[in-house]
Amino acid sequence: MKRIYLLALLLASSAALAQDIPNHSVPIGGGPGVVGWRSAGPCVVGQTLIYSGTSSDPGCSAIVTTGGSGILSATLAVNPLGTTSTTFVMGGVGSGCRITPNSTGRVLVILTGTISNSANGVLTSVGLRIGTGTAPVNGAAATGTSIGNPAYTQPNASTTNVFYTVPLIGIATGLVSGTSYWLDYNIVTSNVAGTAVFQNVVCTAIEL
Amino acid sequence: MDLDQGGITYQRIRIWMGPSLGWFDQQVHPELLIVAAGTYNLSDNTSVVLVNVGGSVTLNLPNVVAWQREPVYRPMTAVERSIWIKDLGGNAAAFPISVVPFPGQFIDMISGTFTIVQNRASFRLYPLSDLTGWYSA
Repeated sequence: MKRIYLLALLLASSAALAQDIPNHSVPIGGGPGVVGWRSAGPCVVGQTLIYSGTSSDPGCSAIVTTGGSGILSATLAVNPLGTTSTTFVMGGVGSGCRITPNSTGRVLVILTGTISNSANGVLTSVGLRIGTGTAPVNGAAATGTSIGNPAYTQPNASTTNVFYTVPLIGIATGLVSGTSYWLDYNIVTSNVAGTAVFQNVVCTAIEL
Repeated sequence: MDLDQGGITYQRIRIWMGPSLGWFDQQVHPELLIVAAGTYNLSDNTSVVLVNVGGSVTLNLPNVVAWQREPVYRPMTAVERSIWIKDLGGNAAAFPISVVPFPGQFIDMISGTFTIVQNRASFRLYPLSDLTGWYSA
């Protein structure tokens, strides 16, 4: 009988099994076939656990408290030449309008300016572009990636050469952190008889 | 084969093995202490495996059929009829302990190797009565 009591005591005490993961860390499941918990953390001050994908454990990464250093607002002291091209060409303001995202890679871009066309009934259309490398010059063939929606004007006889202020607004996503991007517009006229112009450009970009 | 397992906590219990074999003394929890990395084939009378090594350890489980039926040519299964595996040294996070069922058998109805990944975690295995493998607790 004494041995039976001894065996019962041994079995009853078996539930209290010590297991440990680092102090202040969080357990992470390993799925079927994995016994116990993996762990992540503890993170240092200013960090939090971030997943980089669904097939790997999260790790400590810095908390993004602002949109990063990617904040830019520049009034471009240029009045870019207009164009009589009936295919899109670049405005050439990108060299003075660059942003380098450093966190989310998601950037709000606002390019404001005044749009006009010198000929009655001729359409001017302006769109927003973003790209890497050397910024295109005025009149260069359209390049980069289009973001947002284009703006346009089509003056009649009474509004020829009247300038309308328009904002070009778009959000660029998937930008590579640490890479410098130029911001520019491309412009087109619907008829060579009219010169399309977008000028007094102000460039603003904020990493969200 | 180390029938005695040489543990300090040498607890025995006398069990009745039927009219042919009669009474046997058997350890309650015969231990196997592992202090060197490598692959180990668990014998039938190993009940507790304590792993205390900072290196890769693979434990091959016995054939649950023979383990349960206890044929006379094999060592007796320990009294508690379970296998406990314990990361005694707290090295499993860095060196996961692999637990490999006998070919064709399962753990929790899952084929393939189980791994202990948490420091000082323990893993208890009990045989399924249909002899297809083990269930964990």
